[in-house]
Amino acid sequence: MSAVRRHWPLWTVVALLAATNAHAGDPTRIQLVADIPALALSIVDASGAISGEVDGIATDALAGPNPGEVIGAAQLGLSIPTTSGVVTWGHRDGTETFVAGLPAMDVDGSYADPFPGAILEKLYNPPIEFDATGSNNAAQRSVSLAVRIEQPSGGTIVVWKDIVLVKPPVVLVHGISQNPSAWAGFENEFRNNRGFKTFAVDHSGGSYTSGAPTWGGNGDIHDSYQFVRGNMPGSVGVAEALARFRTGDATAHAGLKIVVQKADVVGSSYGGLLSRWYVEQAVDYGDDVRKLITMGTPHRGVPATNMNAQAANDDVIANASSQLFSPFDTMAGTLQLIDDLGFLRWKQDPMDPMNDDVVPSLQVMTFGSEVLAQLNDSAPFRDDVAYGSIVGIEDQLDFVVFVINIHYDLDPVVSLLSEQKSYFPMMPILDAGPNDSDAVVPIWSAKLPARSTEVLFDHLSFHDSATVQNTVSIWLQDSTLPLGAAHRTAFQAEVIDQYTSRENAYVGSTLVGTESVGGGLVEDAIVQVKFSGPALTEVGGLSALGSGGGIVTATMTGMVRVDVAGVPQPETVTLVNDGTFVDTPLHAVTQILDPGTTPAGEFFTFSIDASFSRGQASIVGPDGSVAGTGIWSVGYEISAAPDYTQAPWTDIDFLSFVLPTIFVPGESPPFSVGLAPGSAFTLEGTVNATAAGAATQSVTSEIWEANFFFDTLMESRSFNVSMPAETISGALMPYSEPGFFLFKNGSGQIEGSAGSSGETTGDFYQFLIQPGASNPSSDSVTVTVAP
Amino acid sequence: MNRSLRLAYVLLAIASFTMLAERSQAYDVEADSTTNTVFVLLWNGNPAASFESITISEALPAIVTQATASIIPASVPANGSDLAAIDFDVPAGAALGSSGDLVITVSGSASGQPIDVVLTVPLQVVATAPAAQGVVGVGIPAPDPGGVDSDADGVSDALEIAFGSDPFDPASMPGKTVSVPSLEAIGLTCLAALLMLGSVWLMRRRPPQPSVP
Repeated sequence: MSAVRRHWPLWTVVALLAATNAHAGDPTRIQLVADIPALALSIVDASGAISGEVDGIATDALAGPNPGEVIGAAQLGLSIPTTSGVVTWGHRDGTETFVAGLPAMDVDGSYADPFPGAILEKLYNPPIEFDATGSNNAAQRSVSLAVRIEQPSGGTIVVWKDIVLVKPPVVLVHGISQNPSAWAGFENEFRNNRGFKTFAVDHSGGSYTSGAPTWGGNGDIHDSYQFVRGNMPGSVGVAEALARFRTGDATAHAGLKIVVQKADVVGSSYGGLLSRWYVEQAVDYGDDVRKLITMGTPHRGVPATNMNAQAANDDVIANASSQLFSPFDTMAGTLQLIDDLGFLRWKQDPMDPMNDDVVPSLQVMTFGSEVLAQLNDSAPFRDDVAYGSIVGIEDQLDFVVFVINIHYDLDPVVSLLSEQKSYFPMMPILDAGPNDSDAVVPIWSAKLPARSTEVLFDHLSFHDSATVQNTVSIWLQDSTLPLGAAHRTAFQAEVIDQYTSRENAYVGSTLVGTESVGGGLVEDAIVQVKFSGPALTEVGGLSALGSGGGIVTATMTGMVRVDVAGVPQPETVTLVNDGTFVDTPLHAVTQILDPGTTPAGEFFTFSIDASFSRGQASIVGPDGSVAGTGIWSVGYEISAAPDYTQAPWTDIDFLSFVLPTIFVPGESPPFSVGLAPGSAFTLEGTVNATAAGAATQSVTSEIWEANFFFDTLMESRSFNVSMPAETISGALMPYSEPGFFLFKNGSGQIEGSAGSSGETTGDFYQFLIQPGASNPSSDSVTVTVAP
Repeated sequence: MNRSLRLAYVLLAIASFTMLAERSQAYDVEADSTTNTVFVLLWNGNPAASFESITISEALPAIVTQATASIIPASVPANGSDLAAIDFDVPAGAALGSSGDLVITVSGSASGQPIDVVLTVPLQVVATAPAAQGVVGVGIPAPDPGGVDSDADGVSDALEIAFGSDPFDPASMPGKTVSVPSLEAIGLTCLAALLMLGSVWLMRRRPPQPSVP
């Protein structure tokens, strides 16, 4: 601007003075000198992570448990060069006027003195939250940090810089069989409408440098947490998100270098477990997570994954029907279909029937898994991280044409239309009823005690739910979101009452005295029947009960509910043969079971022995029999109200009855007999028991020569067979009788004590005469006379 | 911070106080006066950055009815100076003896760093005010961009004369030459100088470091 020089003639001035002096004051001229010092306010990253001047800072602190305590935070280092004068640190208010200090820590942050008395430098702590009310949807707001220097030479200098405050980066971690696209709607809302910078981790595979496969987001937690950590190529995790803030990347606050130490993490389902593993277990945790919000994360596991794992490596479960498609498809087929449709990866190689390895994520999420034990048992949650959980209670996954609750619909059952018998009878109970799960993860597994909210959404619908998005947005700006310590005690103390581990802890466990030991809903945790007895052999991969007969003991392990606490209760467990429409009871055993200290309504174990055997053409038990041989299924039932549970069915091959041939111990046929007394034969076989219990039963066994018209009796002997106490009427019980002889007579022909064959060689067989049943014959063996 | 350095800061603060004390007197203005002017010689101490984007605002006391910046330089060069001016009016009803501060803020930025220079001008209404007060030389200051600067100290000869410094002595700068020092100011300044010398003596009296065997 040009100035006007005042070249007024002296007389004009005098005249003016004369004219105005009478009624007006004279103007005065004040001359001042103002120094504009070489003075700049320097604002840098106090941590040194960013070199040079920075533009802003993220509000990434946490409120500590004690009043006024602040946990961790990015800090700005402020300084001015050496100057003389009185230095005051403050800010510029809305009218651009300097005000000493910062008025409200929770709004504008606060100054701290790194070195008390060092007036030329300060540290700046941002407010704990971007907006204490949680309602500010702006991406950034500014604070004008200023310094006033009252110069000794006169004049006051105020220098300032506007810094931006921003919300910490939000790292999103998807679940199994998903990829970052699951967050598309969520990111759109958070980036465009709520002022967050979001970064979606991609642990679905394709870029993992450790060499471990991720199977579409189903990778091993010990490796896959690295994606959350954020140093994996092709995926933006915590470290990369922080780096992008610091460099002013276009995906962060473009062009602005933002000082930041910690990010917030939102994990969906398995993504929440990966995040917890990184934060709580990883040796290379970068101390860079502020808040962790989980959505439908199975902190205590998913019971259905126990079934999934079992279906992969247990033929019984693999060949069972699923409720979803019963009786048209097996569990293996159903899971394969779900895999093909892209909903759930369950086996590491679903196309290879010989590879039974399930994907690692399912192993991790198995109820009672080692990983979950490591996460939860000793010291779950960090004290310098705040946690919250979103818990879904819509227990039906809506696939438009059908809905699924995996606890019910993937329950493997016996493939009978009339009898939907479950191999995991307790699995539906884990998901105790309407609105007790998000159709995949039960409430008791997804909930973190100190802060959770239940929303009427299913496991796949969290991301795009406006309710969930609003809750997450508020929690991300909520300084009262509880720290890990606030969750820990309650989490560990929580009794997972009737829905969970207690009733399942007994499944597959071992009874020691009256207490069950071990168990849990693990791989073997199905109600089971185990058979024992010398007569049960394996033929072609099946348990077979052949002509050797004998009594088979079925040890049946299972659970029943306690009717009245502390009162022993009678339970009848029935070993049954699986009929097409009606099951045939073989042996019903009633025992008075002592529930010990188990409360009423909960489960306790039993272990009961029952027995069965076979006749010549039937399956027999003390309480019933079924005619026929071939492959039959047996299992057990508890059908007395209020209990009802079933065992898995075990196939047993009841082979056709064969009476053993005669033989000479230590020789192979054809047998050769010499002069009297000749060769001794031992006749072995099984006899049809005429009565139950211990007894002595008389039978007659004979050796006959087979001829074209009339067979010749060579030897006959009656003897007593001792029956043991467990003998079942109609069962085949073994005998072994030595002392039969065939010899070469004086004519050089084969002869026995009851007759002569009249030949030097012939075919001989055993014939059994038994009361109460038909008399069977064995096949023949050839006997010759010695030269 | 060691004790000696802390003491030096204290002494520096005392010295600063003595200089401020000198300026605690008010400038005289007459009631019913218009086109009173505050001339501000802006001296830019930045060695390489000009002072730019200059604006001037005023906060008025009760005894000033209006103030207007009449001269606003476009920029002040590095290690250079330029002139700003603010005209203000004192109303007819201003009572004798009444006083107030006219606060002038010169805003701009140097090398991207925004800087406010806040000048508090204490005014008091008197019957007869001197025509010129403050850092006064000969004549009325006027902008002199590109004017001759014989001693190359960043202030043109014309402005040095107007503000009372020696245009041929680079050590003589407007405001740095105490033209009419009061006895009180001299006494306090001497005291400050003595104390500062004392602090230097104290710092030199640090005990010797123990020798390393």
